Amino acid sequence: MKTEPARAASLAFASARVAVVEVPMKTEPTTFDVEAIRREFPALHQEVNGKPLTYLDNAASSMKPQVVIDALVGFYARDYSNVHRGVHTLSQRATEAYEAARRSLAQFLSGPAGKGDTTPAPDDEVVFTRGTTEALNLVANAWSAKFLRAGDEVVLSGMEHHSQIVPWQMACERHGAKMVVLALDDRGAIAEGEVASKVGARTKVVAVCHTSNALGTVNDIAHIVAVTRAQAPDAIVVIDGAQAVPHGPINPRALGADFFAFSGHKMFGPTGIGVLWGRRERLAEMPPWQGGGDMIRSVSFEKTTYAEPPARFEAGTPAIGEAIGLGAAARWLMALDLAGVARHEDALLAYGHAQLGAVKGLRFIGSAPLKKAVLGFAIDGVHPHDLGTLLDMEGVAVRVGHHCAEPVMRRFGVPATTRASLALYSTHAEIDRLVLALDKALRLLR
Amino acid sequence: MADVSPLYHPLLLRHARQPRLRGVLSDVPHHSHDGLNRSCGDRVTLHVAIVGDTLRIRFEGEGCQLSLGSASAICEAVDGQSPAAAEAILTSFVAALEGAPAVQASPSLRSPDSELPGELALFLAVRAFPARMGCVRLAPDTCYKLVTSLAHLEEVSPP
Repeated sequence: MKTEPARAASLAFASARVAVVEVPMKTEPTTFDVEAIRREFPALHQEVNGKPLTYLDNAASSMKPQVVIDALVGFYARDYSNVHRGVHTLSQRATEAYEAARRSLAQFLSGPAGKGDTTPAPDDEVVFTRGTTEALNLVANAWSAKFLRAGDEVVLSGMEHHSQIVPWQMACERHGAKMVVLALDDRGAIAEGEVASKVGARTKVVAVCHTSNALGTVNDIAHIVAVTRAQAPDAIVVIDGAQAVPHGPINPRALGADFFAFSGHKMFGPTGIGVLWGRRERLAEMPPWQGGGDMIRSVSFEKTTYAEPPARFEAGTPAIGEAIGLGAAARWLMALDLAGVARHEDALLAYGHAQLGAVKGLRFIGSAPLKKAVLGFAIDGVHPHDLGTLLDMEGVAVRVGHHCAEPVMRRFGVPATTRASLALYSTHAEIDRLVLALDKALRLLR
Repeated sequence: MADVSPLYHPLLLRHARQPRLRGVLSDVPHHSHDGLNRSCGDRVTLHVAIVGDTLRIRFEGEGCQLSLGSASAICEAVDGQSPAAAEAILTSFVAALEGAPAVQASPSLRSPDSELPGELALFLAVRAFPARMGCVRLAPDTCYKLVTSLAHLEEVSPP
């Protein structure tokens, strides 16, 4: 990456708060060169339906920079072999690359340099999974098997993705535990006082997203953790970090979480790979979930003993190439001017709010004071699916539907929303193209 | 590149906006069946009664213009038909939807599209937009299930 280092003066820029919409940022910041970033993403440079692609579906999945594509190709073309198995040269190369990726992820999870707790996360706290969904299922199965009892409570927020709701619902059914939901306010944040009043002596799990995929709301994890530690000392805090990691390195240990799950494909890495980060002591006390090769110490027909974490939770041949690609994505993100990235994304979000807010009949679904990268909205008398098709004809890719968060849709009384979601390579021009395409579609649909 | 305008043809939009047969059957015993599009949440409920030898049908639901428009057009096509005729209409509509887009420039090619009653043929434009096929098929698929299982269903009396 050839970005300039962050300059102290630049830190005084607009915050993430959407309240600044009346002063939209028109100019691109100088320390973060979005056009240089875009040149690294080959897929962004194409036409769709005869129009330049405007890719605003980043909360669903992000595009891949060339370094990630090269890492995948390089592995399969030169270093490919199984890991942790052989003594031959290729097996050693593959193992070294796979474990180097784990080290990169541990570094990524140690947060941005110079902020908060900078103690590097130990490598053995990084468990590779297929993605956020598998990571959350792992905890909801393995941890619950040992610790969740009848009468216990599992607390979730009303903005959770189905991948957090369903595994915990299944765990509650298996163990006779009860699910408790933190209500949302009209802006799409956890309502005032909900955490304090619903986390209590019976709480064993508090499972919330860091950033909501449907609303963009950023939750105050430090507050949720503080209340949990005070009122439910035995409870674990499980964070769905899928929508947080595309915006840069993060430090779940400093946030106070016990487990933190995310996917590779939303942070510019491959699909089929993700991470469950867990505090070493939490992983150590957790029994295995899936059995197989690589997760054992010794096997006989009478008795099997299990490996230490993270191997205990990585049964079978892992997604080696994908892990290596994710490592490359993490290193790529860490090398960016992160203050510039944040400034760019927040200015763009504010600009999007201002421009879309001027569309007649448009109502934002999700306007929490602290939010990231998501412009979710409903338009009077217009169904998102019709909009999605018409926007696609203009080369504009957005997500329409319930975003795997049906309870959120019900909370706001809509069957579905249209969601434009931003990434660090999104531009002001793309917001303008979205608004133009929207105008055109509405003329046809109204 | 596919042209989107046939998909939002004024006649189709009329079905979605001013559906003639939207509602319930409040005066006769009838059968009801829900159709749900799992991926997007579109929902359509069909109510069917047999009066004499013919069907009476109404729909309720929420969804995009294609799913509601298709529900309206399907209801208009089968309302007043015999169960056998309704089944034939639904079968040919679904078969036409599953077929390849008609070759527009070859009128000599016999196309089943032209045999569809009412405005159903207009919906075949969706074949160029596979992502929206589920929207158009929600009502006919639900209706087919209902019409072909009428003999096995318990009647619901009007409230």
